[in-house]
Amino acid sequence: MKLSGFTDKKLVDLGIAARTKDDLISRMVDLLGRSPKIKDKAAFLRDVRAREALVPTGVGYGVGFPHAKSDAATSVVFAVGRADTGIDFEALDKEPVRLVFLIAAPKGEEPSRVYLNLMARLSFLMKDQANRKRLLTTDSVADVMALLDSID
Amino acid sequence: MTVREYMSRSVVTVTPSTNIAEIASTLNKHGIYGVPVVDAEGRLLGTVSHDELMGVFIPHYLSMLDELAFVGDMAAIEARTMSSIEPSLFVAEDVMRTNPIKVTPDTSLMKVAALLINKKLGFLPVVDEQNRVVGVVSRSDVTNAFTGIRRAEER
Repeated sequence: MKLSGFTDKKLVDLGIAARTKDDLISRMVDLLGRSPKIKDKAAFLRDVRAREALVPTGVGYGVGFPHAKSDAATSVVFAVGRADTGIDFEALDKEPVRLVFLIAAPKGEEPSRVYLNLMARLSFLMKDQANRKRLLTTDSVADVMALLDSID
Repeated sequence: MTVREYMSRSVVTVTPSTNIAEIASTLNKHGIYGVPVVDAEGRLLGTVSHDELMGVFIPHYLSMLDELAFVGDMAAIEARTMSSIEPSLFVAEDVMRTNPIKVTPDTSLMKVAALLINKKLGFLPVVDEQNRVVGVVSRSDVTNAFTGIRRAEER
């Protein structure tokens, strides 16, 4: 399935105003909560915070991949957010995070495989500086969806 | 024959926050197929083996195929995959098999053998009444038992 198949235009926000990492995560959960695949936002937020407390998901180059397997999710889904101010995300390279992908998956073996692969593909997409620049500068949600579908 | 007689008691474990690169290193260092994932009290949360680690790197569609002959350029898939994975993104919590099949020291070794074969597993965690890991029993433990080769530590 193409990456866009795991998200939706309404799950993309290119103008997130957040002050802290936790604030950003909360707003991203609100965003992803627009999906009917998230049946309990509060429970999902708890699971994301718990996963983030284990090991922060700021992998560097200004991108964060908060994620959780959760009973609050009915299938694999993700949201895309951009915070132009840059947020301290406890990233490996200490760089502030501007691009965030929040990924949810239900618990279970098969969904886990799908979501791990999804994260790997998003990571691949964001390792490319040109892709990051495109996502940091575009004002078009349609362009975001096109970028997501630029890889198999 | 029961698990108690043949399990490894010197268990190598990891925690939910252990990075997948550290897990791979641990498996290689100890020459084992997988490890239990435990909480601070040593209670079983899940298991991670080479299967789960490889699962991170194999594109999902490839793992679903029975016939690979028609898949084109595996080298290209490999190159892209290896450049895409950020190992720091994945920890045991993300990749572990949750609700793993587990046994107790009193479980029959014949049952263990059947589980390992039928479920295609490399090892099983052995737990006590409080779900604390007290050992692991592997395929080699079973085959050694069945063929009469006792553990060196028990000889």
